[in-house]
Amino acid sequence: MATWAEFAAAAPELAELGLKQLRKFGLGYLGTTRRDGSPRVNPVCPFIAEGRLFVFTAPTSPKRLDLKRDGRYVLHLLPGKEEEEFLVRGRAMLVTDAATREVAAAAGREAVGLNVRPDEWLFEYDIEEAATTVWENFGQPDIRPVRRAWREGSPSSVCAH
Amino acid sequence: MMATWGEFAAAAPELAERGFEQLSIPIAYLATVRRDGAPRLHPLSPLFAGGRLFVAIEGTSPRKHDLGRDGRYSLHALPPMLSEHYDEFEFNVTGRAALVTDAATRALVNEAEAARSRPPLHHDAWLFELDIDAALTTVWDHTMVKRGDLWLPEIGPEGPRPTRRVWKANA
Repeated sequence: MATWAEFAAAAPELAELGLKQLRKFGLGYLGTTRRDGSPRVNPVCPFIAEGRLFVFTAPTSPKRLDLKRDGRYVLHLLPGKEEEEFLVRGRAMLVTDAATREVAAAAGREAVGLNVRPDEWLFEYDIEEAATTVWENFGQPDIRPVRRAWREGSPSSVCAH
Repeated sequence: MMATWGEFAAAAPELAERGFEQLSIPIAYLATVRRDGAPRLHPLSPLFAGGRLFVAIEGTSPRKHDLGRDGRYSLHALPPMLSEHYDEFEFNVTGRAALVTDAATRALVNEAEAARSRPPLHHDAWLFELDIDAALTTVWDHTMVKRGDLWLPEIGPEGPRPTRRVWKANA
């Protein structure tokens, strides 16, 4: 598992697109697995603090229990103007230490205007894989996707089709 | 028991009207379950035809096998644009997807898409009908303030409060 900073060091182009989308909208869609094995999807406000990817979750949100039981997640950032896509997948871990929580709350306030309440749950999102899609000849008949993917432990790869 | 979109709309017209509006902007997020049980998401444009809700999945996408193996899905609309009346309306439907194999239903979807000036389904796209088990909506009591040309939610110390509504097909 990689932190955001480790991922960014290994695959800087992918991480750059992710940061751009993150700064632009501050919004992503998070996929988790419910207790009965069916999928759940919710909007979340991810942010980066000290090279780590975090999301605060309301204490009433059922997805926090999904993640506590099965940390596997997938997170898509909102697509850009030319439908650039960015996603990461990996495992989310509950953060309980007060120092990390404080740092994350300050960064979340700064980055996306979060007003963190004491009862919110904080998860750190470790990264196993990331993928981007950008489009060549966007808006033209010969539009064509260029997909890039990174997986922990392997060099960044490009596949276009 | 599951409902078609039309049955849901007849039972909960206000929810369905706003849901339709939000699902009709370019993208929504479809969640499925991978073979290994991990979640998968994909942005796509939901399709409406004959009072039914559909999604088309590219023939090359692994997601088509997700839904063939375990039809359970969750579909989440994007929030509305920021405005003076912004309530961050969240719309989510869950249920089961069923592969559509008959040409008549495919033609119905293509007709509806043409009426919305959108292109027909790609010939190798897999078409799934989304039957609805539950629809969930959340609205937030934001106080909106104008900053320059933009309406933005004001973040107070308490934060906005959510109001949630759930509609169930078998209730």
